[in-house]
Amino acid sequence: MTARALIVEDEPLVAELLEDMLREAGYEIAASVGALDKAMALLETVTCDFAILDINLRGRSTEPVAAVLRGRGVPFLFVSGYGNAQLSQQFLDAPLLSKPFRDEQLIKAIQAVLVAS
Amino acid sequence: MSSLDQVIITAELARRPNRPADYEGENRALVALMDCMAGNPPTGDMLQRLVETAMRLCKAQSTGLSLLEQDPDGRQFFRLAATAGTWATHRGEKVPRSSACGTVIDRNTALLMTHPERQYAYIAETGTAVAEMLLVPFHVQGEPVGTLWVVNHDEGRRFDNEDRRVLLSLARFAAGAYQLQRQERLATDLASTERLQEISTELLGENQPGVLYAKIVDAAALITHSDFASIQVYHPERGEDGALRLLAHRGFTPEAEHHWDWVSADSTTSCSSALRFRSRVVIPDVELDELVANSADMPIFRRAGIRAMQTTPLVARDGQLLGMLSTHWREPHTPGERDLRLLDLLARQAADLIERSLSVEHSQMLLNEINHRAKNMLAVVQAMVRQTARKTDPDTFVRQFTDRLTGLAASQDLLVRNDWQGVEFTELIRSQLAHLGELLGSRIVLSGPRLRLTPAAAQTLGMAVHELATNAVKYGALSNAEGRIEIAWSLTDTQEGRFRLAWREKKGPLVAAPVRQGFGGSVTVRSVEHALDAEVDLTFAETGLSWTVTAPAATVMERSRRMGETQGSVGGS
Repeated sequence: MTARALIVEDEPLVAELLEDMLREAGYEIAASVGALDKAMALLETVTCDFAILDINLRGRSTEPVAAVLRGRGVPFLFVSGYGNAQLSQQFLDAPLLSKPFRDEQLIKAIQAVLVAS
Repeated sequence: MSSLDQVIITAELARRPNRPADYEGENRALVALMDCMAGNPPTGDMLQRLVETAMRLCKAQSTGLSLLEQDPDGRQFFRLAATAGTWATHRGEKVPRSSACGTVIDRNTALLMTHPERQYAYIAETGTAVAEMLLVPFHVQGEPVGTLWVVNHDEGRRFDNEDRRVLLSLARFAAGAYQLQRQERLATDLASTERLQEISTELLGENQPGVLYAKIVDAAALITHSDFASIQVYHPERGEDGALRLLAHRGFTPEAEHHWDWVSADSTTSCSSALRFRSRVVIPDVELDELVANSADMPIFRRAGIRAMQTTPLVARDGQLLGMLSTHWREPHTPGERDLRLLDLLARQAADLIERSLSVEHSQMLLNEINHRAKNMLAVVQAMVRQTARKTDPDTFVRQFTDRLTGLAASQDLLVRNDWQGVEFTELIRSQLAHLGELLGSRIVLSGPRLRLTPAAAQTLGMAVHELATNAVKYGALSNAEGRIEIAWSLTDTQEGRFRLAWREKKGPLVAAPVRQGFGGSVTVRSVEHALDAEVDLTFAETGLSWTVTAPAATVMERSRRMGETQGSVGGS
């Protein structure tokens, strides 16, 4: 069965890039959003097998999304240009991919979180 | 206009670019001056060293210090107590009361003069031209008693506000030193001056903020012979009047350290009073101070063993409050004037060092932020490369990609110029259409209210407009001789507020433009929907392309400015 991804990324072109990379690698996109409140609302209605979260959405952290996902046992991957400097203690060990990234780096990181779960 | 008004051009300073401040050089000079003060005999050539320092720091050609004196008949005149540079030979000479120095004393403010020799005979008599003369008053116990001045004889270099600041700072320092000398107190107790001078040298070499603060606290205790001391940094953003955070202390009990970790302006300590009054506060005996004695802090003072205290504000060169330096005693105590004056010298230096370490922290933070933005931008460029590379040959790719990158750079320029505080909408459109020259205002017509976009909206809408313009030139309304483009935007008055933007092409050739596919479609439709929570309608009517964006005003407009910026309106050009 094809794994379904939730993408939370505020930069539209980067979101589209992520969608393309995932589709080309054979994944499905469950949803792709750019705002925190939309992402939180989506968690109520959309199911996904993993998520890709930009840490910083125009100054707001996506950690609340990560916390819900962690509670449900859904694996996720942070992407950021900041490194992990913006993450709080509880997410310091979460997998993180630094921007910009190549297709194979992204896919490898996704496979790693899917296997780990 | 009188001739004096033509000579005094102080207002010019505000119009000139400032050279960057060299606090370190300045501090070294102050340490050298302190060194000189601590020497034996203490008077020495202090004032001479001072004017030489002024000359070096302001890169002047002549400099001097004039002191107001009285002859036996009670007539006032100035004595050139110290001089250096071209006019060094005039040292010791008398200058009339009605001189440039006299004008500065009368007005009691810094003055910049151009060719003062045209106004003052005694300057003309030197036979040397004076392109510019910058003078500051020199106070003792609040009274102006002299002036410190720098001169450039050649037209080449001009003084700026930084020179005025340096000169005022030296004058303040000199006033303190001069007063100490005059009261002949220095010789009686050299130890703490020498110690202060040693500490100053130590502090200059100290780059670890933690150690630095501890050393300042120790020095304050030593100078004021106190049992306790503390340094706090001011956080203006906390509460209504800001709050003070304890950085380092000497002698506090763990309870006191914990209790005074944060102190706000409405607390009852000397530092909170100093915060309210922005000046030094001395409490000689907390048991006798009504306000403190009845406060919640009193039991803590008793348990900590604190009976008397003083707090001296640490103020940056631009007047901003940086923090507080406090000392405390076990017995009732009123610190002596001399101790307080030495403490002022330490506070001046502590303020500079705190400012320096804050500015290092600030630069580090900015560098991290720039690094983050650069990486995000690289990811955007990466996405742009991928989208552009689809279905294009190498030549087209290079041309299109370069063109898009230029558009992105134009939006970035605008954002940086506006400090990332948002961009005026018309300005954004103009920057994206700048390459179309005079078409803007003739065949391209803009209309809508003034409004300020968020950085995200500026980048997204900037890219979309750039893409639409490129498309119009190639296939649309700008590809023939008579086509027109109307760009109109508006805000609805409803409580939530909707932003509406329309791009209408008219009288263009009848072709279905390929803007809907590939990168064009990404940035004109999907990106706008995604980033601005917008509804986008892109259609190709017979009359030409039509692009309409409707979005919540909250996602498009800079919040803080929304009210004021929607008042005016820009016309059709």
